[in-house]
Order: sequence, then C-alpha cells, then structure tokens
Amino acid sequence: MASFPTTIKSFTTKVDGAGKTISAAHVNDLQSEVVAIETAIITGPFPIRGVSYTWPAADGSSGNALLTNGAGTLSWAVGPAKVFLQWDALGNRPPATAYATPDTRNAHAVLDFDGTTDEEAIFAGVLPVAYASGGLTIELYIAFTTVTTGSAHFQASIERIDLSSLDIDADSFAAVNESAAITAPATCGMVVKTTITFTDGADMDSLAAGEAFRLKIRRDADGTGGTDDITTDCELLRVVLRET
Amino acid sequence: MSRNFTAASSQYLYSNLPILGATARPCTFHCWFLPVTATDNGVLMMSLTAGTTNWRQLGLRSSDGKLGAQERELAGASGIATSTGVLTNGVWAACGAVWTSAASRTVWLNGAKDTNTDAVALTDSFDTFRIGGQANYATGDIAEAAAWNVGLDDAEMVALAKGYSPDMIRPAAHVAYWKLFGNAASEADYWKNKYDLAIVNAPAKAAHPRIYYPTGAF
Repeated sequence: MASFPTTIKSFTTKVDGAGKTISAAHVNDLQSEVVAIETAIITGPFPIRGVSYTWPAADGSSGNALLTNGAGTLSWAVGPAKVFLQWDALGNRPPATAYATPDTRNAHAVLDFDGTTDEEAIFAGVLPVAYASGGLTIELYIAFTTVTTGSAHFQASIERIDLSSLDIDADSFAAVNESAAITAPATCGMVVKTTITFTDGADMDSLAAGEAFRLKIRRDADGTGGTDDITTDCELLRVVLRET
Repeated sequence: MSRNFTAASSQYLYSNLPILGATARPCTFHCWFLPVTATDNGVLMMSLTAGTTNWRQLGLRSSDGKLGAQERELAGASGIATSTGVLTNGVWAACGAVWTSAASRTVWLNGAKDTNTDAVALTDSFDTFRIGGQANYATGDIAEAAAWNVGLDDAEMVALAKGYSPDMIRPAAHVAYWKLFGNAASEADYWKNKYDLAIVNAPAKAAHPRIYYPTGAF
C-alpha cells in the first residue's frame, strides 16, 4: 500500500517557460505521486496535523459519531445523547383535582392511576438548549397493581411556558397525544414501557429549546382516546422525555 | 396511599416510644384527613401519658365539623383552639396544630388558623403517640402525619396546607414523618428517628392526598 508522501518529488529536468516539451517520464512520476496520495486517503492511514488516522471500513449508522482509541484508529459509536430528561414518581407536581396518588411498591415510589376515573400527573422542566427541533418522545414505565391481562391507555400533553407571555395562573396545555395500547405483562410486578410522540411545533405547544414547560401524563381510564379495559390501578414509575 | 380508619372498629396506630415525650412546647402536628362524616368527633394525632388525662391532641370536635387542638392536664384543666372553618365530608383537609406555650395554641385548617390562650399546665412526660385516636376514634382517611419540635410559623403551615411534603418544611426540627401508605405491617417513620407505628385493628389502605414531594435533578 502506498504511503502518503510528505513532499512531491521534484522533476529531474527543470522546464522553463518557453514552451519546451516536458519529459513523459516526469509526467508519469507526478501521476504516480497523485495516485499514491489518493490511495492513502482512501485506504489509510494518513496523517492530519501530524497524527496518522485509520478510518472505519464502512459508514456508521444514523446518528453515530466517530470514536478514537487514542492511537489514531477510528470507529463508529452511538452519537452524543440527544435532549433527555427523566423523572421518577416523586417528580410529580400534582394538579388540584383528579391527581394520581403517591404510593410505594416494595419501596419503589410509584404513582397510582385509577382504573375508572381519569387521573393526571404533571412534571416540570426546561427543554435543554441542545434540542434540535426533532420532536419529542415521552416514555412511560408502567406496572399494574393487580392484573396480568388487559390493556391500558395513557395520554400526554405539553404546556409551553414562554417568557413574558404565558400567564401561569391558568393551565395552557396543548391537545393530548395518545399512547399505543399498553398490554399488562403476564407477571404482576413486571414493568412495561410505552411511548407517546410529539412532532416539533404546535403538537408540543410550540415549545422551543431553553423554554420552561410542563408535561401532563393522564391515564385515559374511561377510554376516550383508546381502549383501557383494566379497572384497577396502573403504577407509573418513571417518565423520560427525549428528542425523537 | 393513606390509612382508612373506622371509629367503630377502634382502629389506630401507636408507638410507645417517647415521641415528643420530653419535648416542652413549642411543637407542631400536621396531617391530612378526609372525613367520612365531618360532624363525628375523633382524634387524628395525639401525644399522651398512658393511663392518664395528660395529653395533647389534634382532632375533630363533636357535632360542629370543626377541628380542635386541645391540651389537657392531669388536674383536669384544658384548653382548646377551635377552627372557624369546618371540614367537609369526603374532602381532604390539611389539619395542623402549633403548641406554642402553656397559654397559647393554634389550630390550622386548610391554611387558616385560630388561637386559644387558656392556661394549661401540661406535664411534658408523654410516653405514647397515637394516630387515629384513643377513646374518641376517627372515621376517615389519614395521611402525611408529621411532628416537629418547634412551632412552625404561619408561612410554613400554609405551605403544608398547599400540599408540600413535611420533608420540605423545617427539616432540622423534624421529629417524625409518617406518610401512611398503608402497605406494610407497621407504618414507617420516614424521618431519621425511626418512630415506626404499630397498627391496631387493621385500618385499611386508601387513596392518598395530593402531595408535592421533594425531588432532585436527574
């Protein structure tokens, strides 16, 4: 494999500017050097600012970033984390009415959502400035108090608290988005995860990077937006907000 | 989840450890209570000397639906601060008492206070603490009971009535904090003193009031 030349070879015969013919051998020399440079770039390793790098043989996956081993060998790895926030049950800032109630399950803090009446929990935060307009995905980690069959349904909505604009004396949540059906696991006590997605813009109340917000989680126990045929409590353990 | 008490079943929680036993005034009680019938009397929280009439209690007054913070001494004298407001059947109420001095005690109902100034020469030698009553038992749900060895100020009592966890109110003066989730064979004291309460006559588990718990950043 050709190595990257540190200098271009000098022609063996100098050519003046009077139109004299250049030797074919000299042209061939120059061509060989160009090919060597191209080969080095394509197959590596080749130096940049004095460091010789060996690149991965193939492209990485979407969102991957280059990782070095500290000796010039590069590889693809999962890219930097996107916008990410999480809360456990203690992060709830309950609404005045119809709130999910705090409980414990084997020392895990959980929020109990009723099986017949819609109940809500609210989580507050600031959307990190790194948010890149990719939309948001809400992940809910849920257990069921007693059942091992049936399916539950949750909803989420976002309230943007834009500076010098929103009057927080009243609620201002955008329309709810729906979860898929959440099937109770066969073993009571196991935790399942469901997601609720928001597209950037009005769907997430036009929340922008660096702005305060509230996230409302509701169990749609009466099945307005989707089937919820479990009549006993769901237990919410964690809420994750990440950029889609 | 709270504990549901039924007076007819004489249900209560207790500790025979000297919770606030050697603590002279001031001190503070606070809990949330959801009455079935607000005009039934019943004790929510009390410190007492077993077998005597020496006690300090927070509870419902008979028939008028009001909350009372009462101290009674061995000699029989007593003083009671009675709330102006009344409790409502089936509605959570923030119930508190600040025991300030021998001649001053305040009762707090949903962030509003009333004061009584009768002189009561209470003997601070309590050896028992109860939730749910003694002789006069409560009927309803009790949760988030806590005690401090100081008299909380007005702003702190109002904050408790808004639903802030006792963990967030003057923690340096905490004595005990029972969330009363109703899940275990005893009710854990979530504060460092570990004054867990024994359960008598099986008060059931019930729904919890809304509470703002402290949480850190993730």
